[in-house]
Amino acid sequence: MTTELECITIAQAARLIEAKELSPVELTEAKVALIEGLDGQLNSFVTVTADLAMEKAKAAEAEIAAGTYRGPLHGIPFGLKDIYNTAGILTTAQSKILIDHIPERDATTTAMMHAAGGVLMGKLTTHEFAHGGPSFDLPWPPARNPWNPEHFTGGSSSGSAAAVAAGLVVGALGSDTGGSVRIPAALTGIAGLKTTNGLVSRHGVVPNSFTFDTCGPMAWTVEDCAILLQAIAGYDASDASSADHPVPDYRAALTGDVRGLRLGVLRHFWTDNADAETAAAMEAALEVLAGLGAIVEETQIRPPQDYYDVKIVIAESELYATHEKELRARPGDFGADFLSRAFPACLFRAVDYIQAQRKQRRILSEMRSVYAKYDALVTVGAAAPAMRLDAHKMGESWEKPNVTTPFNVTGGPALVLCNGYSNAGLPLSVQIVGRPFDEATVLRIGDAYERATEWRARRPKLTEGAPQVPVTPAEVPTVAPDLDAETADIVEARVARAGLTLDDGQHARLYAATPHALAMGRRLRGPRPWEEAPANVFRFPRRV
Amino acid sequence: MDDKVSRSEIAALVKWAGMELSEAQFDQLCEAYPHAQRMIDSVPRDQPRWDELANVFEFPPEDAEQ
Repeated sequence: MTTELECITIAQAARLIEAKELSPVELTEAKVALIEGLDGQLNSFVTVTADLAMEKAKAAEAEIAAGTYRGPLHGIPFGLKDIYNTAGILTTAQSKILIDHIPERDATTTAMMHAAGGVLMGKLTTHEFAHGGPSFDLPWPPARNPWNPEHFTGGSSSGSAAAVAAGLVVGALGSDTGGSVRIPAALTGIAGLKTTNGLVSRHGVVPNSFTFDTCGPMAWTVEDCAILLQAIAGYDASDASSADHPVPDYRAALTGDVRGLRLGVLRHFWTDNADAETAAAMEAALEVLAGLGAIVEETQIRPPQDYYDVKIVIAESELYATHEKELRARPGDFGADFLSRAFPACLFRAVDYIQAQRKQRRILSEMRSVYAKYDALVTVGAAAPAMRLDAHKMGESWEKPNVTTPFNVTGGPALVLCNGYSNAGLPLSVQIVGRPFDEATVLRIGDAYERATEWRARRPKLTEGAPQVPVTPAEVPTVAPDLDAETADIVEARVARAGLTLDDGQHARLYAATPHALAMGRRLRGPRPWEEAPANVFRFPRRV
Repeated sequence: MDDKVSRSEIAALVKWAGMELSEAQFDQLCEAYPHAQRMIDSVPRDQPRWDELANVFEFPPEDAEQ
């Protein structure tokens, strides 16, 4: 992967296209050829729309030649996670449940990308319904990491990350409910932005969690993320939780100057759980930021588990409700990993859901003093480089928190970008977290860091036409752990009340998650003032 | 859904909720339970996956204005 068009960024391509030194048709043809040559190794696409892309590229070229240049996405090949509705194009959410779902209309963000002149290359691999792990039992295989195809991309915007890292698209849109933009960005060495809740429309994007879903950009550089964000940010009356908030010029914020910015370092997010290479890369990144003139000091917020309890109880309850009909009627049509996350939500009570929302409001309140003291927070993007695909342990998401979910609960922007490589050649990452709606500062810091380092000069090395490296997935757990009689009674009562019919394996995986799910509910019961209201509030639907 | 529920099932759910009820309170709950269950069952389970919640997340005004 050495030619100029394989590695070109949005900003570079846009400059050349505007100057009529690069043809959108030539760029799109190059990307189609790359997809044909490489995606057999990566599985980053569910659907390739090559013919449509060529039509769009020709139209962009004609428009630009006629003097109508729409801006920096005009003629740029991009991809969409396969949960974004695309009119007339299969949108599966990587699930058998939606295997023939062809939407009549575009998602708001899809339409915005088209309006900006982007050239859609196709629909990108995800985890089932943007949830679950890397699954080998779905109609489409999981994406592979371009840095080493035996390794995991992270998820759930797995194909978006793999396609950007390998240069198959110049940018992509993903979604982030608990880290689904940032984790794959971290593990594939690209930049990915979890946007402030409400900043980017979710309308027409297959829901995971109504409370936490956010849509965001994924690209090779932070500057490219700023360009993509500019195209998709803004109020949308069709989205029930869209925020009517001014949209600044994100690219103009990329001054390269971070002097005097106050950065709070959340070292407690990685000291106990990160590997040595990740920890060393973090210390080096902090030195770079300090060297650029930022004021770097250590601070603390709650431990990750506190945020995780809130997110999991709310999000899994909402996911379960969204899929309740199918979970009862045709559970076998979901992948085992998705079910290992969805079924235990039958153990959460309405009271747990409300207590989690009340705790979320308290957390939002606590963050005000943090935002007053710091312009941004800095921590790891992932605690370790990408694991091997065959090392994925189903059900592990119940056992321990991650480092991305806290910022889905606090709700502001969180950017992940590359801060080095492991000795095995896998990307490492840093995460920059901002105040709600202050994407501009987060992008400014990330861009300044990228300019000051040389990590963007390295790309994955893949050989066109090479066969896919075989991977044998880990065994799906089928043996139920022992539960005490009282706990087993609770599970059986809830399964019966929920109208679920589980096979032995599903039953075993529910039992494995049960102690963790029940503990989450218990931890949320803590005493709280009567007046502490939920974070979600009633809103009359708006006229569209 | 079947609104017949055993006392042992209700006892499990009471423990799950962390409650300790007197015998009279437990009897009262068992009597009320089928009515509550009918209300629960009346909630539609087949709404389109796109149907949003009536209560939605939004930042408190002081956070949105920062």
